[in-house]
Amino acid sequence: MPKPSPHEDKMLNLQYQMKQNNADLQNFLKDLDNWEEEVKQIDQDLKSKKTKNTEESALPPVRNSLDKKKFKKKVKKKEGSDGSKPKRISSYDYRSWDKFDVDKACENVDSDGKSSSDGEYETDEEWENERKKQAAVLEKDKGNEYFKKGDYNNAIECYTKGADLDPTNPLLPANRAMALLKQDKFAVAELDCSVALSLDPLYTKAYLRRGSARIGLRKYQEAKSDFEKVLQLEPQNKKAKSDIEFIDKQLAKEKLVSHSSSTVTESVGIVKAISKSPAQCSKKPLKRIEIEEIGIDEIDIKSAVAKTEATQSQVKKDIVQKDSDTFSKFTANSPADIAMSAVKNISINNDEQIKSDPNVPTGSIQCDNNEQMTPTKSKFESVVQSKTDTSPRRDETKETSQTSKVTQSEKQLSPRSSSVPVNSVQFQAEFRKLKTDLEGFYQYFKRIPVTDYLKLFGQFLDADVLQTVFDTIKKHYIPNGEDYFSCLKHLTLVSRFSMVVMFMSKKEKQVLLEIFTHLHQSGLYSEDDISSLKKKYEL
Amino acid sequence: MDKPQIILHVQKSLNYTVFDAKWIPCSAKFVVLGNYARGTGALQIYEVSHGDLNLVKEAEKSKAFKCGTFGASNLQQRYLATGDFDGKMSIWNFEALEAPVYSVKGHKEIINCIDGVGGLGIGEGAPEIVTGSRDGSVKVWDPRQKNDPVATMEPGEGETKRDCWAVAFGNAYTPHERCVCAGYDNGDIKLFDLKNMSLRWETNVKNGVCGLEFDRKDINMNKLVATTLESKFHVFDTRTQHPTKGFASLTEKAHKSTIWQVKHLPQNRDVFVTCGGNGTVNLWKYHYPMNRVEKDNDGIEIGIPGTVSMVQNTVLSTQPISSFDWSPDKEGLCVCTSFDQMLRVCVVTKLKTV
Repeated sequence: MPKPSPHEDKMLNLQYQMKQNNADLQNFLKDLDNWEEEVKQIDQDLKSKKTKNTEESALPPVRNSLDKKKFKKKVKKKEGSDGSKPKRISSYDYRSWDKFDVDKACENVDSDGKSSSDGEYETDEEWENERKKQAAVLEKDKGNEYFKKGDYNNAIECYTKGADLDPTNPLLPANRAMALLKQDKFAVAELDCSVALSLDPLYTKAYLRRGSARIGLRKYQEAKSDFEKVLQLEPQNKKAKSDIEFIDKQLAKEKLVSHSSSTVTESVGIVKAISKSPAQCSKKPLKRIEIEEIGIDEIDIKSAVAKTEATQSQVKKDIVQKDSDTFSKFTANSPADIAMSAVKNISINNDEQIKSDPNVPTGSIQCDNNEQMTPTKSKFESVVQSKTDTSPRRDETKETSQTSKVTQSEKQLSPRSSSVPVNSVQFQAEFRKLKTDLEGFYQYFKRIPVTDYLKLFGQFLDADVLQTVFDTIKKHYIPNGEDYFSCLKHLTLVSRFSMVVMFMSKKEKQVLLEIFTHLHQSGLYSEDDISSLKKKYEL
Repeated sequence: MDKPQIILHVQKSLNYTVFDAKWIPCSAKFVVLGNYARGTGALQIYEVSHGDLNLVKEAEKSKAFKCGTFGASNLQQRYLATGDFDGKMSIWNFEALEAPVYSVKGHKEIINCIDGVGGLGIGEGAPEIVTGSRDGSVKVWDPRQKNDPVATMEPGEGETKRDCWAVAFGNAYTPHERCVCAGYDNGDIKLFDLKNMSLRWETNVKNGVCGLEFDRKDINMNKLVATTLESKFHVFDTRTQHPTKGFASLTEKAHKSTIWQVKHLPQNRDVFVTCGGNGTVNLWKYHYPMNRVEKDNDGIEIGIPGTVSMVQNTVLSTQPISSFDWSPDKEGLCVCTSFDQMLRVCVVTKLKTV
């Protein structure tokens, strides 16, 4: 074969190149087809996961939205640069620009004190901080919008976000406090206000809100100091004035209450326990309460009782009595118990008043039950009231003094007639009520089946309860000849018993020793039983 | 012969004057903007599919569209920002073309040019759109701020207003660094620093500036290409700015007519095309000099320009190529429009070998 001429060679080369190019193009087009399919999928994916505004929060603020000053400066510079152009009458222009600038400067000063401070951000960090502050303000505005609409949850969320972005802004915690106040979340609101005040100690609104929160928390003294602070800052603030008046009233009321309760031996604690007792909620008839307080001030009680009595209709009384009769049948452990309680309720009473008036007419049960029908709280208030408004009532009450005395004693008895506790909470509540009244506790405790101890004390058996039980045994079980051996025995089965016993004081042990001595003397139980029990009590 | 080939893939004749075409990011679709003979605006979306062009969506608006950009939109939304003959800048959601999601009458006269940054993951910082208009002003918009531009660059009182033909964002490599470059009909090129709100640099290239583009928007300014009337284009090395001499540059003649556009290849910043008034498309490669910086007599750093070499020259039309756009997703895929009312999708092969 002859060697191809240079011309032919070139042709061949060209042909080869064209082929190559064609192949390249074909490859490219094939690739393009594949890509079209792929990108379609990507496109669809993007479309489907739309409306994600995640990036938005990370964006820097709108340029020059912080201060218009920059904008002006730029215009001026531009002027300067254009000044080189021949067409301009420079002197004329400079003058006009000078004028222009002064106006702007004035405007800037007027518009915002802030703008002057954040002129240029030297570093990225400063810039970022500024951005966050901006974002925080936006969150605050959003929160305010929600707040206006009454959507406090969302408002709180916005304020929280804002506070995270800019922890130095006192408006955010203060506004959140307002929203929290609206939701009656006083404790958190108080905390937020304190935060706001730590950031800006002259922020009157924060004082106002903290005051309101503290009223909600019944921290009247502190609330008052907050409002006084407001008055220092803004002597004309009406809200602060009216709130201080309100607090003063509340304080006066509180003083009254605490005064009355302080004269009472068992004070406020008892009142509270009563109002909380689950027995109250259950609406069963025989749950009774604040006998003790009433016991203190005879006249008051009498008047209160007389008042209630007077309002009871005969029919009602009858119904209540029937009720209580059936109930006592159910609640009493045995017929013997009923009989006993009937007798003992009346006769065994260390209260002098009752001793002085030993023969309680059966009818007294009536009024006792009637008393129960009225809500405890209001009853207590009525007592306080009758105390405050003095003379006229007293005259009336004296006439009914005899009956009221009876009812009063009856009242004191009533807890004993209350039902057996069904759970530890109930027991705790009633124990708190009764622990100072050994007699009452005796009646109450006696009624609890020994097998229930485990369930009732469970987690709650503490030294306090145990000691009271021992005292009760010593002071009531023994004199009454009651059998307490099984009681002692079952107590040892309660889970935390050994722990409590371990930490018994000498005094308690002394009591226990006396009890065991008596048990020993009674001779009702074998030596072995007693000594094994003794061991359990670590004696 | 072993060099990239610019090959016409698909072409389509349109019934309106077409000014701009832009690929929709993350898709095989592009949007075409133009002007119907009756003066209304044309907006069409085409999809490239197996050697064919399918019209996906179209809308006719009251005012003719001159230019558009996706530069300030995020990838999920892919909203198009447009400038129209009436001086209005609008942002469109293709899912709901009835009304723009943002609209502002920003200029008194036609918006000639538009550019965006901060979206699509390109460029740090806020999404911003810049528009240049015949009224002589250049305005920067933030889609989050209604009605008012965030920055305005305009001639002072008593000055002649020059027609702004080209704008470009650049230097957006941190959230607050950002530059806008504007080219005017008298050959002025001005570089505005948006961070300091000052004019950073200006020059005059004697002929009206038709096209401007940084090789990348989201890096510390590297190169700027400006195309002009009278078949010249200039490449500025914007890395090193001399206090008096400014940026070093080279000038190249091409196309034997107005050079309408310059577009850098998204996959290689040293490769770009220029589009000529005679319907030609040239592919260029920029070669950096050995040292990009030297010291002048005073010991101040001054840049050294590199060189450009033409890689390919193709005639696509008899009329000026009004716009050109590289697909950001597929290397070598591009779309261009020309004043013969034609839409062309081209492929450029072997770009890797450049």
